[in-house]
Amino acid sequence: MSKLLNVKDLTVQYETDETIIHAVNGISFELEEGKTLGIVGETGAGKTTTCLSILRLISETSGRITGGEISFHGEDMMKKSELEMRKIRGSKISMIFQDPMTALNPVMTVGKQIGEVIRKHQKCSRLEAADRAKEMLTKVGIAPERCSDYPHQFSGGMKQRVVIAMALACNPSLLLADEPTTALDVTIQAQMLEMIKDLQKQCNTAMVLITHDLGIVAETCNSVGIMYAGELVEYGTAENIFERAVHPYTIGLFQAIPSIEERTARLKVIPGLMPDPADLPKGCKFSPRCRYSTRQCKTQTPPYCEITPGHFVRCFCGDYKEGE
Amino acid sequence: MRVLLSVRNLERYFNTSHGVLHAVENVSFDMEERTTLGIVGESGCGKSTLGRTILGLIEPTDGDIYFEGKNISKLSASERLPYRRQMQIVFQDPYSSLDPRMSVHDLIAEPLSIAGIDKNSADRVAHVRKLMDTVGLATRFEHAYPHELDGGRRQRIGIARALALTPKFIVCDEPVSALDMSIQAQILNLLQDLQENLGLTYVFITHDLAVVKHISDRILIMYMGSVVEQAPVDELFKHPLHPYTHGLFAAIPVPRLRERPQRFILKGEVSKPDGKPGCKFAPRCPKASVECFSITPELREMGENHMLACHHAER
Repeated sequence: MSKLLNVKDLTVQYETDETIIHAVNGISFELEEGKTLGIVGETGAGKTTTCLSILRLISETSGRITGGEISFHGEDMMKKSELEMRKIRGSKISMIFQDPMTALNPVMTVGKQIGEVIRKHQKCSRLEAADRAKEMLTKVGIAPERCSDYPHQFSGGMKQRVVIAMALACNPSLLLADEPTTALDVTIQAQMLEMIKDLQKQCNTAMVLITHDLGIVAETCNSVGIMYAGELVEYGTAENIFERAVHPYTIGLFQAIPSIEERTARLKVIPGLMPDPADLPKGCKFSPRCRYSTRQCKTQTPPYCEITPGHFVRCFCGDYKEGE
Repeated sequence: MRVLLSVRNLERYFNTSHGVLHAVENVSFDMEERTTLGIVGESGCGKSTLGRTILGLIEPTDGDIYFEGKNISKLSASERLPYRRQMQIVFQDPYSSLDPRMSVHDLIAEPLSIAGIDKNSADRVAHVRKLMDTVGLATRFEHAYPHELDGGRRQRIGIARALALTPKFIVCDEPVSALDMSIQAQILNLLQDLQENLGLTYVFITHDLAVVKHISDRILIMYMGSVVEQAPVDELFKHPLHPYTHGLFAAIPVPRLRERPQRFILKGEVSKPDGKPGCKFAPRCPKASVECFSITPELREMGENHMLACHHAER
């Protein structure tokens, strides 16, 4: 299968009056057509910034992509003009945001909002667009008669369905989903994930799914990247991450979440806090919280090594594994 | 063990422009000392209203609340005061529940000054430091303001405030939902340690089943204002009986790769509880029959301390 998206050494910084915030620090990943990549990390790890940079939506006043390459369908995204990017956004790559309440225009009917995307990217009449909008609503499980309703007449779950209909209206080949179910209840979340998976199969859309829930990743993703302080600390297939995780942070995350299957008296905690992205520690960014950290970890940046084909780790422990 | 809190037929209705909303309907349970009762449900099921009604932050429409054997639901404000000190709450959002213009010291000292404890300022400072120590906040943050701290530390301030008057009973209203995974574990461990050391009794409100399973002794599942199932934690997870509980369990994403049998996904969404007779879950229930739409199922004992409100499920 061909590579749809290829991100190499992506670096993004935000500048404020006094400091430079290192939001994303040289991350690389790739995605094949129709596959799903999960990006997992805590608040401030740089997950959303990564997605926004793929669409080149980083606000120019404060942020900048300072390095790296993004290629999509073999084309260099960094060289595209703003006009070209506009043609890509919403038609070839679209994005779903976390909060469906704020992603919709409250004074426009949902049918019109979906139609707007279609009319922007495809030559068609208003009537055709309205028909396509109804078709999309049916696809996401909403009665087509509701196309003349306004967003406030829908529940949270239904609004997210509308957002998904809008995102998929032009059959994009890549969907960026930024915590699409975090604001929803579990039973609605399950409905939503099932629906996204179905539609993805129908349209052969690839997806980058940002989440902090490892359970969602296990159910939807083919490959997984674990982000910490703007770096991918571990990246590989779902099997690699869920069954053969190596990085102390990945292992710590798995131990920190309470399990629904077995009961433990106490949770194993990762001590400390995520570092301030304006003031990152030297060496390995995770070393202040890592219980295996050595002097080497605190002074040198660990290499990003491939311990088995397709399984990458940014840790000195990767070195030892190779040596074995 | 001694029963600390009993709730009997508690009801709370709200008048809205669309008619009467039955936020909490006919809820009864008992809680023993030093235990944790988990209250689980989706948004709008009345779990927070229930927690706040127990504390007297919201007046009940009907029903009784017994704390250490005394009915506190019908007391006047001044008679209620000593009980308020014994019953505290930790709120969900440590970002909006703390006054941004008060320092950590002031925030933790506030309950002390309201209660008139430690009027001498040196005593007050020492007391606040002791509380900070109890919740694992370094004293160097004494003069910091909430915006300077991360979510986990802010939630520690919220817990210290709740502990200031040495309560016996604390309602934890989604205390970890706003926190990151690694921080969530730290706060859960802290709450467990405090329970053990200070002999606290918790009502733990959450929508996260993994968290509730971890921390609770007994779980109460709510749907649209009513309790649909109530059982000790191990029993509930081994033998869930209510179709809604089944749906909830099936919906949790498990962080492990495995082949899943065809998933049972609940259809439909929660509507507004209006107090019409019949099972409220019936419109979404795969087992619903005619009687479900007309007769409200009563909560009945199914053995093993397991209570269920359903016409169909059998043990």
